[in-house]
Amino acid sequence: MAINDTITEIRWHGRGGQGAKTASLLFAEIMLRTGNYYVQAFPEYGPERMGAPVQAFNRISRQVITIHSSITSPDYIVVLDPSLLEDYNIIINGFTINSKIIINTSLSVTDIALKLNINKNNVYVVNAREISLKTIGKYIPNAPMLGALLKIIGNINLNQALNSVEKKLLEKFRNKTEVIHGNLNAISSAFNEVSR
Amino acid sequence: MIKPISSRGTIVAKTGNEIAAEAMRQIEPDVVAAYPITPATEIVQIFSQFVSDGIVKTKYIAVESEHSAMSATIAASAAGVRAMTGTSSQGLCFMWEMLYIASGLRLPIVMVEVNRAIAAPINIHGDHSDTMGARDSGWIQIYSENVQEVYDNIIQAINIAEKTQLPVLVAMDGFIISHCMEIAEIYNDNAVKLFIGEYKPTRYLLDIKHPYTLGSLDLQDYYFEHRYQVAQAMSHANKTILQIANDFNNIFGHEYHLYEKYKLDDAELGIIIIGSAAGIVKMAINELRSKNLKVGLLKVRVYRPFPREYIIKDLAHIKAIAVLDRVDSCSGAFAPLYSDVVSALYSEGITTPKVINYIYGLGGRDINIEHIKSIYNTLNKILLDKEEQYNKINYINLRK
Amino acid sequence: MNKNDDKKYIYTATTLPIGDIVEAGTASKFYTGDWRVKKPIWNSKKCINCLTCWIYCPDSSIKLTISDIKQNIINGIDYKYCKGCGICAKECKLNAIIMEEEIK
Repeated sequence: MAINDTITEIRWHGRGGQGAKTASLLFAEIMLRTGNYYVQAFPEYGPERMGAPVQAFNRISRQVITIHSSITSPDYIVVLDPSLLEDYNIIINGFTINSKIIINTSLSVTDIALKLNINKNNVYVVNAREISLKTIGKYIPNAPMLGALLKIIGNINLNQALNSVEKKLLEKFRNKTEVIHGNLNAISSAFNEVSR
Repeated sequence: MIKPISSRGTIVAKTGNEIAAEAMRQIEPDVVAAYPITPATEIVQIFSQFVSDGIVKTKYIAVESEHSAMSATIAASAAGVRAMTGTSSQGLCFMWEMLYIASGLRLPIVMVEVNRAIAAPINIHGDHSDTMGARDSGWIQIYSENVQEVYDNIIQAINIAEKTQLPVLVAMDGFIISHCMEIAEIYNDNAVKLFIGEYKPTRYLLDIKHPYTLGSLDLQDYYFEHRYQVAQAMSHANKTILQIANDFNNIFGHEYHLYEKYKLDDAELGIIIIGSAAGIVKMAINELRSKNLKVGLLKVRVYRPFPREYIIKDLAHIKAIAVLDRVDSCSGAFAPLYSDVVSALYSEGITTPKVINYIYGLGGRDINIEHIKSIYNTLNKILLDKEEQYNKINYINLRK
Repeated sequence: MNKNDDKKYIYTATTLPIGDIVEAGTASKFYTGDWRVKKPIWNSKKCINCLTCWIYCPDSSIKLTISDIKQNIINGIDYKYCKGCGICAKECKLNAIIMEEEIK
């Protein structure tokens, strides 16, 4: 699905420390650099708490974005941690028939659709735990989930996206090239593996 | 394609705090003294990194409180250098007595203020309670709607402060702007440095060849005259602010005035607002205009000095006006912006617009496009004389 | 009242220097000797020029001069500025300064 003239809204669900906020910031950067979109990225407005459920948000548009309200009915919902599905009312809050949900899980699309009581055509799954363990060496689900979202959003040039992520990560991990490589691999693996 | 307007510009995606720190890096003040407080922490955190990395030559003074932060900034400014600080909410409250000293001594300090509610109950989110309390302290107050405006306002604030010899506070809404990454255009370092120029104070304390006393006792004999001077400087500052905005536009291609009009000139129904929520009003206007409703917006950028004589010309033709305050004065009367607007109109004998006061967004409470549309709807009823009780304070998105 | 050079000149908001600035050295134009109730009397015969009074005087009212052997010695009291606080008399170990009732 390509982004049209209206504003596309994304909500990220994660746990403090899993990098939901960072993923939303990277996603905004990618959409600016690869697609020249107007972007917004903002975390759930609250103090940071390791392990507690947190949210982050994006807005993407071809037009200047002037709105600064909270996002209540997202077009895409990205779930970084499968345990968050226990309280799934929060996850599918504002979910419409046009919304898409991308979940880090080892379960199938059918199982998730049943669990959330939504149409399975709206559900995408990716095993971000496995991917991040394989590529980064520890369980940090934000990079694979970012890769999965890029795929589902569509019309994204993966190589350009990886370049822009690399540039951004170089600012933070100048001396840790293995971290950068791991994250880039995680993004491209999930980009290729995410499925309906 | 998103392209920079200025030939000196680059497009970036930054949060309000990040871009404030970026502006401060380019300004490279001689002294920054600050104490961290949510949601303004990142500004001085990022800036102190610039200092420790040797990217800027600024002397950074880590202090033990906001009171000391403002005291050190005042001292540095009085000594004859460019001095800046940043704070929020309780931090601004703690600076209180020093705010008046900065303005009374006519020191051109620039402060980046991230708007946040004031405890109790404790709350870290955005509303205007902090800066609205400081509205009579003799500081120029400039509010920013988005990340771009934060950046542009901070750069202009340096020139405004030094030309008017008044301290300037540049505000942005806590979290809503301070933590929101957005597209903005930044200009190259040389262009910014050229725009702000070198700081040459007319008199400064460390000028040992021309010594003087600063901050002496001023009793019944001269205090009144000194405070009158501050008030006069404030009422003349509008012209200077417009002049600097004009220079800024000529160089960087970004247009600023004391306030922004959005489809106001032919409007019958108007909303007056400060800060980030203006963008939501613009969206609502676009929607309602397509239904042939004559709606408009006046977004106050410079709240102090209040652009009284300018604003009335643009409001006289509006039939019903809603003034939206992100603060409650708890006075039993109306909120600050409403009081300023109505007294401006009334003092010029303009009594035709029916003006209604709304309070919204305290403690970061969300305001969305539906709320704005309902306000225009109420204004429409007032216009048709179907709403009798418009002369009371209304609350948006409050569970009564 | 004495903001600047001329004690009698009354500034308006237009002529008053902005920002609560007072030119340096204006204390020399303010004769605090008017305030004195008790007056210090210096006895040159008892004085050994230890300069303790000169150190303590808050109004720089102990006058000094240079002696034959080029040392600072006390040369009396400047009654134009002396407020009569009595610190010099209190500090003088030899009672070379005593306080007397001021008769104006």
